[in-house]
Amino acid sequence: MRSSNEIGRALAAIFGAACVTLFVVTPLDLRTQFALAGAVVVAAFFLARSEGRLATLALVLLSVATTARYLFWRLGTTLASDWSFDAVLSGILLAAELYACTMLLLAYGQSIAGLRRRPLPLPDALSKWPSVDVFIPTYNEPLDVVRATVHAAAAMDWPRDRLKVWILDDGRRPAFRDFAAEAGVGYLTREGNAHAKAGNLNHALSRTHGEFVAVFDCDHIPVRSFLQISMGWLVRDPGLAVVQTPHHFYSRDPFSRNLATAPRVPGESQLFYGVIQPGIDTWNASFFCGSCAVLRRTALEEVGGIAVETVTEDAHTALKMHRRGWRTAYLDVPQAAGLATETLAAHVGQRIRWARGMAQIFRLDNPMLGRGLSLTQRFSYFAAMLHFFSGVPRLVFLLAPIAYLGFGRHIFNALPLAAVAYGLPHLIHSTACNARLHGRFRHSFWSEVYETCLATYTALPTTLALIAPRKGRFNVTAKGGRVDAPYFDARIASPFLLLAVVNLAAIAAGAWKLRTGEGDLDSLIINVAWALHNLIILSAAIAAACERPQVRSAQRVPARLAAMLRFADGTTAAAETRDLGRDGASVTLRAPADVRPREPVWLSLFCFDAEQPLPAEVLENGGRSVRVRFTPLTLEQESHLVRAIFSRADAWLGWTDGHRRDRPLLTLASIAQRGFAGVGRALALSLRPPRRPALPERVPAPVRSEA
Amino acid sequence: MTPDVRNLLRHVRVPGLRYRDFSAAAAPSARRFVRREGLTTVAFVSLVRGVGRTALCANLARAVAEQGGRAATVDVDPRGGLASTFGADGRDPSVCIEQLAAERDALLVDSGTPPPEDVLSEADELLVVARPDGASLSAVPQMEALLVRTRMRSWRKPRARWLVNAFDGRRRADREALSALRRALGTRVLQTVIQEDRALSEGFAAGLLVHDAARGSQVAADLEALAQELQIAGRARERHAQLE
Repeated sequence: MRSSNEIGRALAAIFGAACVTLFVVTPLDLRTQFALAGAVVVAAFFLARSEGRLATLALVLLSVATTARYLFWRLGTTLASDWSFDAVLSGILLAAELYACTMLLLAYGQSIAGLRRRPLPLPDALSKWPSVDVFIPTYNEPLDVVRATVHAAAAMDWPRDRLKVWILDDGRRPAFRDFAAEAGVGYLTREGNAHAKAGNLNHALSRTHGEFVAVFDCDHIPVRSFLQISMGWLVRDPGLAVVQTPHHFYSRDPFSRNLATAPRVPGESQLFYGVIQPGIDTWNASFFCGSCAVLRRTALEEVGGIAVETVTEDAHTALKMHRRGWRTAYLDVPQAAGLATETLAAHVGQRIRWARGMAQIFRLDNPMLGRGLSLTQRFSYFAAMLHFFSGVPRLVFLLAPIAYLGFGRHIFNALPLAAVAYGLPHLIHSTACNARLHGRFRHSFWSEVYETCLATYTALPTTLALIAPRKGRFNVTAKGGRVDAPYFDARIASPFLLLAVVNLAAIAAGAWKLRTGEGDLDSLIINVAWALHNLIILSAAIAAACERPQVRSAQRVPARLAAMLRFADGTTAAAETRDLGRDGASVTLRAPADVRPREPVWLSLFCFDAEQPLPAEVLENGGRSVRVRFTPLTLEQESHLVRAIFSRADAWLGWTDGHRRDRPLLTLASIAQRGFAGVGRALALSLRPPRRPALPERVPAPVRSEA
Repeated sequence: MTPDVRNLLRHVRVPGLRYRDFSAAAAPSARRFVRREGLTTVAFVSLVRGVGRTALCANLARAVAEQGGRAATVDVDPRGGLASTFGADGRDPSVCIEQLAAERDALLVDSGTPPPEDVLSEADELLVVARPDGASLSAVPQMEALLVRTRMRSWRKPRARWLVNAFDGRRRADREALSALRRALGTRVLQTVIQEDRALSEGFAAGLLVHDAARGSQVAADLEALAQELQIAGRARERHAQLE
């Protein structure tokens, strides 16, 4: 029975493969190819409308087949036959295209069968719950950022005798030591800062003994249920080394802030945590992301602690564990939240580090080579690393139209209409398929915007890291700053401006050629359309460099909590919070109250914690809606406030709420609209005398000790 | 279970996932109230004078009415604060009680200090009112002893729970007294805590109920929560549904 089933499957697979091969290799004349392309696009259109997994798989199959047909045609008929300058250019374009197609296939593999892992219950007996050390590494971040994380980490629901929080201070700052003592958490420092964060964590590993280690970047604040949600799998499966949870950001990333897309467009990080990590979890290849994760000490010790050879120590550590047969898991429940990078420049800096680190791993410990990995794990890691090499191919695509429009070079050795007949279906299918697979977490064309912002910056470091992988230092991502006034960061945007000018010039040259009747009409149209597309993407990149001010230094978090206002005259008002921040809150009263601005009040938040009224003053009273600002808080009060804002078990569950459905053409139109508006803003800001803020600094919440 | 954990568990939908709450306000879940048919008698008792028993009694009756229930107050305090503030029917108590039993859901009995023995033994529910202060805390053992003695003598075993009144979280002493009470008595301290508010104490002296004078105040919300926690309002609604 079983064998006949298997034979049936094998036959079906062979038949399917034969069909696809036939589809890919059958030569057709141009007219028939157009008809085929049209038919397949129509089929995809209907498939995209129908729900269900089968339709998704069919879409992926169609997309892969169409791309394969395109590549077959491209490699078979469009290669230059002799060596010439044009041939070199067209070779570069072909290489970039091959890269893009490989990434497309790998991305399908990553996201086609996402594992929606759910938490596992812990043993009933509390005595079977293991001990956990919580590491909060810090180097130069302000104490104010770290305080919240420490308060929340210490408030996680776990047996008190088996939970120990440690501040790992590589800055060796006395203020941190004093705070740790006051808050009753451990404080560790070391001689020197060798190997940055990885070295810091390894030093702490040597000084502690818990069975598990939870790591939080100092701005990632865990909710109180973090351990009870994430530990179940680790306790049940002794072969599991890591449980990673998403990095959720409660402040907006530079793209969604500067392009004003939140919450309708998913944030930059959501593709990775919403699609890719669950996707590679299926292949047992989800990896440690440096924070918001729990690691098994024995597994860490087996691979010699956190990896120090590269600047992306997290992924490298996971890779080493996988090589030794350990398993990893990804839990798609946001149980911690942090600050997104404040500016585009900071974002680029962070990604340069990631790109360089991944390139280092690629060189030093290539996942395609070496022992211990399954094929799917190899491909998953390969995809994660290859992703960061997108810089050079992206630049090729951004510059390609100038070759024909500006210099009359033929880099595509084929009839223009044939290029459309083979190439366009490939583009349409891959866009439709991506919208289907990723649409909830990344809208179409946004990847191009993100890649474009990084392309010029990562192209060189990744190439250098391939050549000399041991060079380069770890740079800390600056967070917790704020932008005071809008400004256009012309320095970071200069490559985008240059590329935009190049594409504009290409379009102008194209228009000129059209007018003089020089050149071939079909080629002109294709290349101008291409340059226009580039221009749209580049304008969005330029717009992303128009830094908008962040209104508050301390982010507000929307939260509906039962609350109370107590007034100076001894009366009270029942209330509900609308939003909460470390600086103040907005509340809705049950009935209008007669309070005036600047009047002192006390705000009590009724959540899981014992009541702890917070002193505040009224900023604004709109009858039932009152805004208050906290006056200096004691340590106890501050800790209570932090727990009320950040520690609630359900605080970040709605992290994908509010996204608009992805409709590729509408998305492109909205990118164009936001991009061109942003370019206008960039011009306006540049014409005004630029007011660059001084060093980003954070206003510390004043603290006094209780008398 | 606190609302945030409830939301989380609803979100992850894992059968058998039991959350352990280690937070400060976490109390082991109280046993479900045994529902009785008919009239409930809730007696407000205390050994300490001036804890706000009488004002609570009157205001709770109003809060029950606010939620669609029907409660009557009975003043058996010889000092008669309730009767003198709001006026009394002055009818023959035994006739009166029978009539009330027929048409009301709850009788809220304001006893004197110390509470008469028959109130302690005959009420369905005893609410020991305490302020979060030293006097109330030090009276806990005495009250517990009195309750034990009464239970030994009477065959009805009224359930006694503690209610903290006039709590002001700004005062460290109040917070510590509340947690000391919770430590000592566990789930027998009601989750609902009545906040200190002039609208309750001074309003009562002036013959005003919180729900009339300060509807939007936290005490009004607390009194409603108290009615809910004692399941007076819920029971009232149920009985009405049965009657109709």
